[in-house]
Amino acid sequence: MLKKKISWVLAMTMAATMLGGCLTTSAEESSYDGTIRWLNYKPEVADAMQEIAAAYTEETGIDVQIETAASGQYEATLTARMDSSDAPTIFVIDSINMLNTWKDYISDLSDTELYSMVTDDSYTMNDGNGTIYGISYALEAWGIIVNKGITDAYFASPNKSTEYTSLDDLYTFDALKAVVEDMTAMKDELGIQGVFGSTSLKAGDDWRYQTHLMNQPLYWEWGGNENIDLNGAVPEFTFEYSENYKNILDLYLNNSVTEPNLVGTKTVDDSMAEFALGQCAMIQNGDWAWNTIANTDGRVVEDENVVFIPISCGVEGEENMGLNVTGSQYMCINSQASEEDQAAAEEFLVWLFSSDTGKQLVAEKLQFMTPFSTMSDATYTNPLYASEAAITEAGKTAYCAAANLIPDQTWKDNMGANLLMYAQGQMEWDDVVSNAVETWAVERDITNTANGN
Amino acid sequence: MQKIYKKKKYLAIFTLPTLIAYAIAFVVPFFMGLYLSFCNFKTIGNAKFVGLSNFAYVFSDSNGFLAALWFTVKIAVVGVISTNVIAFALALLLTRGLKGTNVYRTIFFMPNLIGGIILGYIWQLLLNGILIQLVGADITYSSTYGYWGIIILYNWQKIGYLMIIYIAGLQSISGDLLEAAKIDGATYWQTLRKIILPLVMTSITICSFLALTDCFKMYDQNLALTAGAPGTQTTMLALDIVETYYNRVGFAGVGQAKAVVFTVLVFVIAMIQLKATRSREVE
Repeated sequence: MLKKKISWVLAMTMAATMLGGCLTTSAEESSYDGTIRWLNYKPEVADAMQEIAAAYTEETGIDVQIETAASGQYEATLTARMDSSDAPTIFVIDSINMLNTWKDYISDLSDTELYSMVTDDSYTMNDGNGTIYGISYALEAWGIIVNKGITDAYFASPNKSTEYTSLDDLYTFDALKAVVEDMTAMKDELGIQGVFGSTSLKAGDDWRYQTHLMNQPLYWEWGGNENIDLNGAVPEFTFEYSENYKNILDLYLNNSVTEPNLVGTKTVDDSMAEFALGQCAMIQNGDWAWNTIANTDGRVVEDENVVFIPISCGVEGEENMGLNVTGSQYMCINSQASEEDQAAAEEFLVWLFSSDTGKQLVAEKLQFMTPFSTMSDATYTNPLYASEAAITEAGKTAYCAAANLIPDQTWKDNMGANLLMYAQGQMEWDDVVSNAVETWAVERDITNTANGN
Repeated sequence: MQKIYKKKKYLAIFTLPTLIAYAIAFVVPFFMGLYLSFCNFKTIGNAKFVGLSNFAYVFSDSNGFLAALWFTVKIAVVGVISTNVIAFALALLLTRGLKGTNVYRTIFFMPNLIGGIILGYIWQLLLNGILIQLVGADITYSSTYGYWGIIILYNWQKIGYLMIIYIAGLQSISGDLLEAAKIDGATYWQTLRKIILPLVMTSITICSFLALTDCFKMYDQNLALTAGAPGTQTTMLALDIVETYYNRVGFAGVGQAKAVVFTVLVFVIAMIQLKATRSREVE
């Protein structure tokens, strides 16, 4: 009896979709009465995601629940939710390690309409044999975000003591250091409290340094874009470029709004606010930061003044390098969910990235660069995207996201804690380095074993 | 005889719903947890039996579990003594018929109504404010700051609650006894030691038991106030277990093993303490 009922419902659903396909796509009323659950990775777009869910429910009547994991807690939340009866239908992985951990829960997207919209396979998590595990919905870049208004004032000032005249000169560490230190000396004239925003090393807010800034030393140590296999096992790590890492970290710490020994109290949001309020000229972060900056109360930094420069740390050849880029936020559909739930989830994603309403929400609210052909005509308000394009056009090579190969959160947390102790003057740099290398060996073993590499 | 038999029959009917709920919410998860501590797993649906290796890791990892255990013991020793002494002193003070007693009781009790996470963040702001003024560093600077921060926070939160229990205990002491002691010429200290303390031993049992298990189970205050900083030096047992379980690939089993050791530990300590204090109670 029940079976009959189910097959009847399925048949009706099929008929409805087919009819819908023939007649019209906008007024489609679905017979799906389940709930699409999306476990969101990024707290900064939590509100935007809620708007998207509401818009979809309004248009189709299908319930969409968005849950956002707290910063640094995504895998913990995912683990907990997967065990529950309302497991997410859509979730996000951000690295090969996560893919290996969650492979049993990830369905193959290669036959889906969603995948047919993707312009390039490099924006997907795949096994190289045609199986598509996840599709990125946020192509991200990070570097140093500059308030051009302030640096222009510096370059125009008669009191400056460097020969550099524009941001284009700041592609090497020597130039960056000279300008930053000179700007610190002139901070009263420039009306800033420090050149860099606070180095947020509070536990949980230290990812800009223990993950993103680590991309520089990892990239150089592992031999650049040609030699790094982002889908491979975690490589060995000797921290060969530790001095370079220290260079740039010291520059951040010593020319900051906040004294080095107090950075343990600072969050990323504090730092973004300082930038938005014009208290500092530079912060290290990615294009996703625009949402936070743009929505800061009392923002003084103008849209057109927000631009990127690459992170430099004193390695030969870095003047030809651009920003760090990564496909991130690879959307996966839970293979353990019912067929019906999976189909509904995919339909929702197709709607999000191809319908007029969806596209508008992605471009204006999420503000993510996506790899979907359907999104090519979208217009973005994020000024950092234009800056990214300009750097690429100038012929600079982007750093691949070597930091995606960091073994696990334990290594990152440990590194973050050590960086804080270094900033507070409680730990020698040599100890930070040796501890980073030792912990790497331990966690690498654990991760590679767990992933079967 | 007939009556007792009838009662027994009803006993089963009336306790069954509670028993079922208890079994579902407590007994079953407990034994599942016990089993999982011998397994390697990601989600509980696909556990692989690995024997004792999880436990071997727990006791060989000196930076993780054992360090957290030692730190927790240090918190517990000072925390139990300080909260109980202060709460008892306050209870004595507030049972002497002073003006505004009820207002004070309410005020002292109020912190107990605020959640640990919020308290943690509030105290973090307060303590950082003071520390930055005095020593130019924040609570993440040294584990000593974190340690005393947790102690202060815990005292502030718990004293009111324990005080209420002590007040109830003190109020149940018969006035005749105290009066008789006074007539016999006993000093205040003698009365306190020989009459009041033995008579509130029940309250002391309850309060120290509460404070001790509280200290061992402390999580939210620890997370919000220090989150283990510097490094993991101020990580207490519960926080260490959560970090292990969730933050390390393939370590859910080890986390589970830690949790089992933790449960056994709390159980044993509580039993010993209960026995020790019970033996000194006066009926």
